[in-house]
Amino acid sequence: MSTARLLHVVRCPPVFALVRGLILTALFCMGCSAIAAEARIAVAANFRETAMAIAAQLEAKSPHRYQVIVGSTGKLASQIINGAPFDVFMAADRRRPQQLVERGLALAASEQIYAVGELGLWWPNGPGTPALDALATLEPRSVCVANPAFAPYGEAAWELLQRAGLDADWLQSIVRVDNVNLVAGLIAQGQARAGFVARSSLIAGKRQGTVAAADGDVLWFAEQAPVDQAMVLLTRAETNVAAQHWVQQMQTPPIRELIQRDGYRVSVKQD
Amino acid sequence: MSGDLQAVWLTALLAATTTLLLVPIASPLAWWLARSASPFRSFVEAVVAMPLVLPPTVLGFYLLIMLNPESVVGGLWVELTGDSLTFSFSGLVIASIIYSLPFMVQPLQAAFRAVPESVLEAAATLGASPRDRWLNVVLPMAKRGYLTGCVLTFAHTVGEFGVVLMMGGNIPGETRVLSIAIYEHVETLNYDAAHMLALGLLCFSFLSLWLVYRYAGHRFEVVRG
Amino acid sequence: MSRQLVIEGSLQRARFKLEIDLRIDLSDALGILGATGAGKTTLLRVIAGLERNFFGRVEFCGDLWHDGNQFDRVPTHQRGLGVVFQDSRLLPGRTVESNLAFAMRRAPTRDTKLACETLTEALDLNHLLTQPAEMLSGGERQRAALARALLARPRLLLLDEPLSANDADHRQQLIARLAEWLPAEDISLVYVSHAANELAQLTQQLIVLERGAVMARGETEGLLDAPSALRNREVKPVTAVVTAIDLACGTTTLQLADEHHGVVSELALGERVVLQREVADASDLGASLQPEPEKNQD
Repeated sequence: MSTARLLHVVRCPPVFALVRGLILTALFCMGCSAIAAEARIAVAANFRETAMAIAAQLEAKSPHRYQVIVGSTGKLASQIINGAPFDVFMAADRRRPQQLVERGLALAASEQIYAVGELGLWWPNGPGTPALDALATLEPRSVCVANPAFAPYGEAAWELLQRAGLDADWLQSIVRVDNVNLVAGLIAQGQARAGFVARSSLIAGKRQGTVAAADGDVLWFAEQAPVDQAMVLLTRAETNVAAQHWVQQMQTPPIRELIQRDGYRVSVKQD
Repeated sequence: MSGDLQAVWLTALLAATTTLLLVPIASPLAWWLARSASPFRSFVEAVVAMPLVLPPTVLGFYLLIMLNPESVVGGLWVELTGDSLTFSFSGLVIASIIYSLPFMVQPLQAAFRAVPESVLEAAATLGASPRDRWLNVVLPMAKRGYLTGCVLTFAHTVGEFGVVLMMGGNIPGETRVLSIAIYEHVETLNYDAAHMLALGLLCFSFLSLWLVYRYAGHRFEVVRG
Repeated sequence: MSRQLVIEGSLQRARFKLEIDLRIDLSDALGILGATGAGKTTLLRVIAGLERNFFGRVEFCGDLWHDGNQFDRVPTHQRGLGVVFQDSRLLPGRTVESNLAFAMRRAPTRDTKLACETLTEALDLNHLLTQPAEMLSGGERQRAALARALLARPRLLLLDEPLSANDADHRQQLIARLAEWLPAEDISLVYVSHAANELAQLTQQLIVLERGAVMARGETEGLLDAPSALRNREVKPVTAVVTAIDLACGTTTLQLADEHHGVVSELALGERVVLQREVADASDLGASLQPEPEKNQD
C-alpha cells in the first residue's frame, strides 16, 4: 500500500484534499481489517517473550496471523473496557479477565488459566540469601517493584511486603515501575539494588544475555505467592477463527512445553 | 526493524491526513477570527489556543471518555463501522485534528489579517464576489500562511505522544506511532532502537522548523497562552 | 433612461457627519470639490457601497443599491463600477498585466473601442506590464489603476484624485484621453479632485462639499469662477425648502423659516437646498436670512 507521499499539498484546493485524505483514511482502515484470519493478542508484560514464541509457532503451522501487544495487565484491561480492538486477553491475574466477563466484554466459557507464574525477590550482591525483612536496610529508592495498581506481579509483591510487616512509610517510597519486565532490567543495569521479578523475566533476560541472575541471589515465593495467569477470548472476536485457534492451542502439549520452559508452571486443572 | 518502519509509515500517514483535513477546517475559522469584530472572538481564540497549553494527557483523557464505545459519539461510530473509535487510527485522526488545531489556525489567522481590507474593496469594485475575492485575492496572498500552517501541523502531529498514549494505545499498524514506539523501546530497555528513532525524529523536527523560518520567517506567528 | 444618481442619507464619521440629499443626472459628468476631510472620498465610497454604516438610499439608473441600512442590496461587485482610489490599490503580489487581467476577466461583455492594447498604449504602460505592482512609482500606479478600472467596462466610473502623482505632461494627456473616451464609451463619471483645471475639462456639473454637507452645487464653469471665498470658508448652512415654482417667469419660491423668497434658479419642487449668503447678494434674500449664531459670513 505505498501511495504517494502526502506532504505539503498546499496547492491542492481544499475540497480535493479533503476527499483525498478521507479516501486514504478509509483505505487504511479497511486494509487493517481486511485480512480475515488475523488476531490481536493482548499479553501481560511478563508473558511477552513466550507469547511471541507461541505466535511464531502457530503462524508457522497455520494460515493465521497474530499480533502480540504487550502491556501491564491493568492497563490492557482498561484499554479493552475503553474499546481497544484486541481479540484475546492474556492477563497475569484472574481478576481482570473475570471483570471483563462480568462486563460482557469476554466469553465466560473461554476463561482458563494458561500459566502460573512465580514471583521472586532478586537481590544481587546482598547480605547472603535475600530475605524480606532485611530489605528495610536498603534505601527505598533502590528497591523496585511492578506497580501494584495495575500489575499483578506488583500486587503479589506488595502483599508479601505488607505481610512481612515492613514500615509503611518505607513501603510508600519504593520505586514502582510500569510492568514486571522492567524490574529485572533495572536491577541488571544497576539502577536498582533489589526488586521483585518474575521467573520468566529472568529466563528471558538470560536468553537475551541482558540479565544474569545467580541462583543464590533470588528468593522464590512459589508457595506463598503463586501468580495465576488467566486468559479470555473477547466477545468482539467470537467469530474470529484465528483467535479461537489460539485459545484452543493453549492447552496442547507443544505449547504447554513452551510455557513451562519459560519459567511457568502449567496448571492441570481446568476452571 | 519492520515494526519501526511501520511506525514511521503510520506516523507519516497520521500527520498527512491530519494536515489535509485541517486545511479546510481551519480556513473558515481563521478567516472569521481574522476579520470578525464579534465579542465572542476572544472566547473562540482561547478555545482554539487551548491545545497549546493544555497537558496532552488531559486532552487524551477527555477524548477517551467522549469517544468511548459507551459514549454517544463512540457508540454511533461502533454502529456505523463495527469498530471502536478509541484505540483506532480514525480516533487518532480526530484527536490529532484537535491537538494540532492552533498550529494551523494561528498562522492562517495571521496571514489573513495581513490582507488589507483596501485590497479587498478594490477587488470588489472590479466585479469580484466575496467567494471570488477569497479564492483569487486572499488565498494567493495567504500562501505563506498555508505553508507555515501545514509544516507546523505535520511536525506537531508527528510528535504527538500524551494524547496517543491515553486513547490510542500501542497497536502496531493502527496506533503505534513513532513516539509510542520510542517509549516502548525504552520500556523494554531496547536503547539502541530508541536512539535511532529518537534521533531521526529530532532531525526531522529541526528540519521542519528551519524550513518554516527560512521561507516564512518574519510572517510566522504562534501565540503562546 | 436618464442617469439619475440619488443619494439620500447620513453617515456619522469621527470628525463630521455626512448628510447628503442629492439627485443628479449623470448624463453630464459630475465633479466633487472640497477641502481635505470634507467627505469627498466618503461620498464616493457610499456610492460604491463600501460604507455599511451609511443609513439612507443610493440609487442609480433606477436600481436601488443601498436601502436604509441594507448597504448591499446590490453589493459592490454587482454595481458595474470602475473605481480608482486615492491610493491606487493595485493587487499586491501580481504584475501589472495580472491586475489588468483581473479586471478584464470579470468585466461584462460590451461593445467597446477601448481594447487593452489601446489603453496600455495611451496610458504609457506598455513597458511596465510585466513589472510587479509593488515596483511602480506613484504616477505609474495611478495610470495602471486607471487602465484597470476602465477595463472593468464600468457604467459608472468613480475617480478619486486619479492624476495627483503624475507629472504635468502625463496629466494633460490623460485628461484629454478621458475627455475623449468617456462620452464615446457612454461611461458616467464622478470625479473627485482639488485641481480646478481637471474639473473644468472633465466635468459639467460640480458639487462642493464641506464638513459632510453639500455647500454648493451647479455648473462646473460657473462655480469655479465664483470667488474662492465661496468654497473655502467656515460657513454655517441654512436650509430652505422649495415651495413653488413658477415656470412662466422662471422663478422658484423658497420658504425660509416663515418667510418666502424668490430666486431665479432651477430647482425641483420639494427639494431642500442649502443657501450661502454672499454679502453682495444679501438684498435678494432679505435681512432675515441670517445663520445662527451671529457669525459674519464674510
